[in-house]
Amino acid sequence: MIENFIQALGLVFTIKVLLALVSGVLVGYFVGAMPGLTSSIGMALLIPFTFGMEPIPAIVMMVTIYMAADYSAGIPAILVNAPGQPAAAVTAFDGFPMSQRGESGKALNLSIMASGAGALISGLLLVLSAQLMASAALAFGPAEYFALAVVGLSLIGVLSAGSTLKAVIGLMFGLVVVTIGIDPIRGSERFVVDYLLIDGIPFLPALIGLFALSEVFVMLETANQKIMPIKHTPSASASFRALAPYKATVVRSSLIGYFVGVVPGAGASIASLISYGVAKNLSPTKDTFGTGNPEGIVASESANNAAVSGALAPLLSLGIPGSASAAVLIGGLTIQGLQPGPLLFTNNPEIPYSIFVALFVGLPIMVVVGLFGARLWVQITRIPRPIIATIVASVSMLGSYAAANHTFEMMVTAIFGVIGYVLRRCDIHPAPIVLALVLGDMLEANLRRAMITANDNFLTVLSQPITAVLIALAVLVLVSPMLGRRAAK
Amino acid sequence: MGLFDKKGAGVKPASIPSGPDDPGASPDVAEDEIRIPAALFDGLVCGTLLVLGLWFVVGALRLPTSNAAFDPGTFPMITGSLLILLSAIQIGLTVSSRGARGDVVFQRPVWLGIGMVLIVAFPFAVEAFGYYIVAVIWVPIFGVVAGIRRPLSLVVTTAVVLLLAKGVFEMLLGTPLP
Repeated sequence: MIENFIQALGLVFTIKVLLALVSGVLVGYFVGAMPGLTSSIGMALLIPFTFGMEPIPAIVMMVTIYMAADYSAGIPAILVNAPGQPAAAVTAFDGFPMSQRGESGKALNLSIMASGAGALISGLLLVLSAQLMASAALAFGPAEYFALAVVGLSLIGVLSAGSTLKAVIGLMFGLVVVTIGIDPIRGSERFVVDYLLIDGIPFLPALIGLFALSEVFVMLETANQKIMPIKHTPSASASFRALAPYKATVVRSSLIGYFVGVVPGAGASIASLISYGVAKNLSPTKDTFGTGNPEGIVASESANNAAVSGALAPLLSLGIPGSASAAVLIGGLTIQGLQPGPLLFTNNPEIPYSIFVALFVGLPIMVVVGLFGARLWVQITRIPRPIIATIVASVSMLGSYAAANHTFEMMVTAIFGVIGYVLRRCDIHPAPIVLALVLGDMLEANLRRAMITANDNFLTVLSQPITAVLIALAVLVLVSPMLGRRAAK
Repeated sequence: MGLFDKKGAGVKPASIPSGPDDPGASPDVAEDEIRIPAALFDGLVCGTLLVLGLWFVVGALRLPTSNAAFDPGTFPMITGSLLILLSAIQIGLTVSSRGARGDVVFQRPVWLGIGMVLIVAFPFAVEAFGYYIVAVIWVPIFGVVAGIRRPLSLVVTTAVVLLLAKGVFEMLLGTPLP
């Protein structure tokens, strides 16, 4: 292992690879910060540029795009409540309220420090346990995926800021909406009133509508309000100190992010949701989550950045992508004539070890760009609200169009923007709806697959060891807030 | 208190001011607001969700069935039924504790309504006339609706949006805009 690392260090520390690495970080920052453009879209768009490149700079550039995009998606989430990627929606829960209090600088610095810590911890875990973890993830079948979705849905109790009943109504709304389209098992059409809905409601445009556009409507109402003066943006050293009280949250969230990231298909969004829910559940100040609690940002950002390394574990050791971005990375590796999987470590050890080195070398660059950029980005909050509203509305529409190059995506964003706004005014917040949109398909498809395997016996499904543990965890997550409230009385 | 009480009507009508020097040019002027009793608003929203749940349940009943425990219609039927049940409970709670949540206040309601119409109309207009033609007209109009009053700000905002569309989305990322 040490020899491979030394060889990879020599390969990465060349002008060509370092240039590719810095370019990857900068492109990743940009792609992630644009609502609608995910890291997978950014990587896919840049694949043609890698055709003429040597394998190591090409792969290093793609990996650093992936890493930086996952962090920078939190920037618009914090500043204007418009998450750059789905996983950053959780960062907006507390980041945006902090920004509204004039603490955007503190929120941005905390998010970059937490992201950096998450990436560092998960990078170490990736190096130490890539092959072991990927093998364990293979033990996940439909029953286990169903149970994982139930764990995610059980977070409804901790994600609901106001009325739990209204949160569950929002969840059910999301769960019925997600059934539109082709049935995942039999292929029958369900509720397809127009052929455009054959693939269901596109997730990303719906998310942009629920968060960014509904916020634009709030800005239309509050154009008269004075701009909140920006409070002092903490220095880099102060940001390190600001993270200190959340050490336990960082470590716990990074572990959650890494392990959830390892499970193919689970991804950074689920990692952020679970990590946020656990942090809220364990916090003595859980009532302040959702109103601008810095710990919420730390939990979400540590987890979603840790999920990047997690998704790389099954990719490198088994050739299975843990996320959409990892799937694009497999495409990039294949174009370079490399086959990800167990033989990659034997035949081309310089590739996985160069990726490990790139993660650690790219990390400080990402943090430095983030910390210096924070002072610049907070200035966005000084721009008058009407101008921000106009630009956010326009970019949201462009971003949702770019998701599939079709105006239908824009229509979905517009309609979900109006729905999101109306529901917000009724105290039904977007978080439970997003939870359902993320997990609905996974829940139904895997439950049905598991039932087919178990000859329609639900008890057989529940009796699988990992499934039973996960369901018990879900019950614990669901009842613990109630028990906590009872204990407090 | 009426059903839709208007506050501030007569103080200053919500109109598009003539320019930045006009005292009415600032969006800081008092504008209309609409107050709807929260019980009524919650009832309307939950009633709509209840009807939506009903539509899904009826649609699920029409889907093909088999001897399997889970058919294509089973999951939407369960979730749709729960949506109906929970919405009905919320309506019941809202009626029983009428007035407890006060009013839902919509500020700048006229601008908000126009803004929503503009947002919903945008994709249809883009499909019919192409992105750039629509954006050149739509962005300044939306800017005025959002509260931008200085012509220079409107021009700069429109230019920023067009530059982002052309430079970033079309040229850099290769997204062909219609």
